[in-house]
Amino acid sequence: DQAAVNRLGSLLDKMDSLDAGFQQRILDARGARLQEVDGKLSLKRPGKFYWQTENPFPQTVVSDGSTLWLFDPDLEQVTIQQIDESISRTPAMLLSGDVASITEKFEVLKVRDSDIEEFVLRPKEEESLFEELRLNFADQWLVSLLLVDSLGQRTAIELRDVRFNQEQKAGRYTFNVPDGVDVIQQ
Amino acid sequence: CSAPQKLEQADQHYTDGHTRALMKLTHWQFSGKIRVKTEDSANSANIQWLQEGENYRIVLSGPLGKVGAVIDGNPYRVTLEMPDHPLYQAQTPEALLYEHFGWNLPLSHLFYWVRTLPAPGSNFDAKTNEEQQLAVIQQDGWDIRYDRFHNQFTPALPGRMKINKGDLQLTLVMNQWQPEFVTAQH
Repeated sequence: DQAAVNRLGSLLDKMDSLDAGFQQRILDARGARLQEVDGKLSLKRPGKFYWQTENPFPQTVVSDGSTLWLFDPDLEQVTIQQIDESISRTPAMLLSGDVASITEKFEVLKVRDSDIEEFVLRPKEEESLFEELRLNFADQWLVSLLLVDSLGQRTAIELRDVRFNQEQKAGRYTFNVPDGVDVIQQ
Repeated sequence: CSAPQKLEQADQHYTDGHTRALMKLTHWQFSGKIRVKTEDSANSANIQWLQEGENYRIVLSGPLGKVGAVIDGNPYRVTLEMPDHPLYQAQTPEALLYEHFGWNLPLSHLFYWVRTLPAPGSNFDAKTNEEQQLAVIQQDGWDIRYDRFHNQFTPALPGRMKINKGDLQLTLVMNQWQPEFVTAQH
């Protein structure tokens, strides 16, 4: 509904950049824990994005807004794609998109309005990667995300020691391919 | 990647003992990732491999866990199930993989190679690393290298293996093993 859209828009607009640690837990539809991993996340609007998870599920996803690098250190492979508007590949990447594009592609509902403001986003397009994305804000700042995909699998991302709108390292949003890694242009 | 290790030729005594120990591993499950690179394509997927004696089930799934292919087999028959596809059948896993993925990959050998065992029935060359683990097998023109191990098992089980022949390169990462060593004395 429109009030939720406006509120979410204002909260996201406040967040020009973000740097945080996170813990990601993936649960299957019955709640059994499939995967738990720690990582680091950085965002810079519009479209800049850095996501890295540690062992045992190491992965690095980086975008400067036009190119997307998907690096798998175990497989020693990096896939490089050009970003087109349609691929809001991961929920965190979506957060670095401009607010209008988010609210245009998702229905937004506000389901909690107490110490935590919780928004539920449901994609308008049919074949999206996920069925539902929940964003939780505490004192107007993002604290966690929850993603539910079409298999009922739930991915919970809890942010830790979050720094908003701070100076960020140069080159944070470009990926230099380590040697010995196979590059796949898609 | 890891520094080049000093490798030594594994003698008959070593390979006999190694084979005896690992032939006891008849039931196992591991989950991880697989990448198959040919001259003109590179595909990667999550993999789950369940082996019970001579019966096996290999599940390949995409990034968000969407199942892409299930290979079920025993020494007489192997089937391939893929969403929105009819069930495929073949006499041997090799025929199945070649017909549907274009990979000519000796899956029957892989049942042994994933346990760092040379496949029976053809001669091989084996080398050990500095920790006395079997690190290289060369067999039937295939070069198989193990560069990560799960040392919490005895004997140790592989954490990553690379299999090459001509322009076919396969990387198999085993994140988690659930082995069942048959302890009954023959």
